[in-house]
Amino acid sequence: MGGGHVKRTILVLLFIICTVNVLALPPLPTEFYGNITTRGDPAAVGGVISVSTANASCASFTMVNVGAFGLLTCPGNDTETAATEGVAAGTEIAFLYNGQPTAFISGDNTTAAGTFKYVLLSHPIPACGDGFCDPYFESNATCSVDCNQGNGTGNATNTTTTGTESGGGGGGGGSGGGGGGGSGGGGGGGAAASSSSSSSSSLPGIVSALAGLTGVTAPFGCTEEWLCTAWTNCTIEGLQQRDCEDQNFCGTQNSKPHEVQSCEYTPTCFDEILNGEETDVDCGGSKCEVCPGCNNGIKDPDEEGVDCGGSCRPCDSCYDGEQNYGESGVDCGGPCPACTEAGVAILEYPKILCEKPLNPLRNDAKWFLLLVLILLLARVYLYKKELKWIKEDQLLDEFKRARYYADRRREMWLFILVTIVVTLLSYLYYYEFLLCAIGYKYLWAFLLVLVLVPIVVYYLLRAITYSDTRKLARLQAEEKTHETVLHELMIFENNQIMEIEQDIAHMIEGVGTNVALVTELQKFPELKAIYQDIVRLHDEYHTSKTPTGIEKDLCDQVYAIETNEHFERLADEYPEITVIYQKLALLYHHYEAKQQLYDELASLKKQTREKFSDEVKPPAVEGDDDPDLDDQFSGDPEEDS
Amino acid sequence: MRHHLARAQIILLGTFILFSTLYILFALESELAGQATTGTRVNITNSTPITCSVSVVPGRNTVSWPCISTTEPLSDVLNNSPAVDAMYQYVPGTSDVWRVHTETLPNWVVSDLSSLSRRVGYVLIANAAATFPVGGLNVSSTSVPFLAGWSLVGYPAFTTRSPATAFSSINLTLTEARTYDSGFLSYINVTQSGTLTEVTTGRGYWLNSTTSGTWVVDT
Repeated sequence: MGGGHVKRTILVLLFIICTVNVLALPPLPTEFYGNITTRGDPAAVGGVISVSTANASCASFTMVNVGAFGLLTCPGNDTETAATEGVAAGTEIAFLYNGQPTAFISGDNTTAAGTFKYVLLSHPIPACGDGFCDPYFESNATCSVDCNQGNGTGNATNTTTTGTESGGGGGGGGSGGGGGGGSGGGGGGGAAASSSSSSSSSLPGIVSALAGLTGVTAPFGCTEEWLCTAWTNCTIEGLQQRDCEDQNFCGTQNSKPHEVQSCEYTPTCFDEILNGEETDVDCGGSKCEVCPGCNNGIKDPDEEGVDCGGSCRPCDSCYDGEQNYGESGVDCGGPCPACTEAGVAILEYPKILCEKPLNPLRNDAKWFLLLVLILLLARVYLYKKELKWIKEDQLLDEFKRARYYADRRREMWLFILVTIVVTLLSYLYYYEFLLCAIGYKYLWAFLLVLVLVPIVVYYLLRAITYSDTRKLARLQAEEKTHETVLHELMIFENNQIMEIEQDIAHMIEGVGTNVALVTELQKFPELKAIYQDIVRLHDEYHTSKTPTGIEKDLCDQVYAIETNEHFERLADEYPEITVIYQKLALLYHHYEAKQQLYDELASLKKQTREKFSDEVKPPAVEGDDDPDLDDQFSGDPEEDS
Repeated sequence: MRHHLARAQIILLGTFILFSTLYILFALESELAGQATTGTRVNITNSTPITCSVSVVPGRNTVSWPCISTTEPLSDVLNNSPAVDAMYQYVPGTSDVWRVHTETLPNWVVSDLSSLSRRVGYVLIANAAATFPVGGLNVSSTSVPFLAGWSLVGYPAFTTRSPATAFSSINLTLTEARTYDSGFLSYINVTQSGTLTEVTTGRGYWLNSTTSGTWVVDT
């Protein structure tokens, strides 16, 4: 039992070891390098060297040197594993150039791990009749069609061909291939592609060997017979192509003619590049249209005349200050207005060349102006409403009301002014630069004005407002000062009058003791009325009232009694009456003085109002629609006196 | 008009303040973003200057340089030595699995192996015995990536270890390790046995792994 267990363990271990051992390391690769020609010339940089799909594990190589490639890696295959890691050692590699088969010429194309192999390749696989005499595989003897010049360089014409070779036949003769027809040959390329060499082969040997394969016996005994379409037109890249099909469907491409070849592109006037005889893209030369320009002798679309106007020099005219245009003098004669005897133009040059109507009603600007007018009137209407509200605002004193009124009215006029100015400027811009497009020489000035106008208006408005405020404040201060002085004088007069009236009252009361005099005085009811008025005035004055009505009555009665002759006689008889009479005269003079003060106050108010109205000028001053405001400044001296 | 102009001035002033505020906010945001960027953590690996030298024998060698950087110019390492016929790097998972350097071919032959790394092992074909010293750093720890299947890796360490110790961190996925010393030396991980008895500096190692991973090697 124990021995069996040990045996099994050993067997398992051996199995594991053996299993692990088959996981061999990746073999070192075969690195290929070499040279390649395509149609006899070294292959160009950028060409891709790759390996046929049978050995897909090999890498590809993009050429960085003309005619040379490498290193191209073909990883090796571990023969001890079932998987295909790379190419088995000893495999012959078939190389491709840009995906097309190449002919192996010399070197070593077999794989061997850890080696560097040189190969010499030729592209494409030669095919007799392909228009190219491959120096490695073709000669006059093997392909007179391609190599009829005897020097190994092909010059056959590019004609539709099949892979059937002209059998034998010497070279020489003209182009197009001599020799008779007949099938044969042609399979050299294919044979070359399938050939291999384990060592560097001599060129004559290869050629010779290929020459022996002109029987075109492809593998499996199928002979390719290619039928190609005609070459397409040469593209702008200098290439033309065709499609070839094997009529025998061999499934091989050993002698397949190449389907792309270089050619000489014939420039056209529509290829959008500058080529051929063109002097510019698709124009100029003997075949294309004349190129547009200012010296082509024709009127191009952007020109106003032949090689003038638009982007070219200005066209000749009767207004250019030069003698041209068939003129006999400068801008006169010929097609232009006649010259004077001195040979100069009669007419002055037109100031404005634009023939569009300046009248805005005759161009599209009328709608713009109409819109502006409507907006202007609407805004003015709103201003008027605001002015009316200010006038009717009883919460404002007269000074503030006048100031607000003046401010708002000034704004209205400034708004109207600015609107008109901007509108005119806009219209000028429209006419000069859009409608007429006369020139843009002064456009900067116009734009500058447009920018500056609002700024100037703003500062102007601010300065005017500040000046108005100061002036109104000064007028208001003056008015108050004068009123104060006059009121003080009136108070003084009132005091004087009051003292006199008291004296008169006492005197009249004293007169009451003289019965005879009283009897006489009773004949004068005016005196009694005077006495009563004086008493009333006295009471009124003591209650700080201004009884102007009583004063007026008293004044009238005093005047009446002064002019009474009977009272004058009575005064001569009684000295008390004389004193009363003198006091009444004095009182009368004081009343007149007080009246003068009232007059002066009214006059002063009127003068102030006139100064004030010069600055503010509310409608009420003009007496048309603002009587309330007028009353604020009138003072009405008659009523006061 | 005056009110309109005053309003326009206020609008202009407000616009200026708005853009100034936005500018300041964006500047602050950029500053904060910059601080966040500069705050990214950077791993610092201790390293000291050192010279590592690799000796080869005529024929096949599997080598690595433990003190070089991960992008060391090949010419700085091989120094155009005539003893080198070719040197290979195995790059699995690519279309061209072998990168090659050779100095025995015409100069128009393009070699695609131009820089070396301490993470990688190389197959060096020599025609004579030679030594390749190169100055570099003793990096305390290096991560060596490998793929499933065979990978040729370097051994970026100066310490000789047993295979079991050296490959302990990848013990679960490692199947086999090999190197070449006049014939292949192999270490079977399952049995922890084989002809490869020690992992030494200067050699490259073929690792056969069941999965891809990273082998962290401390010096």
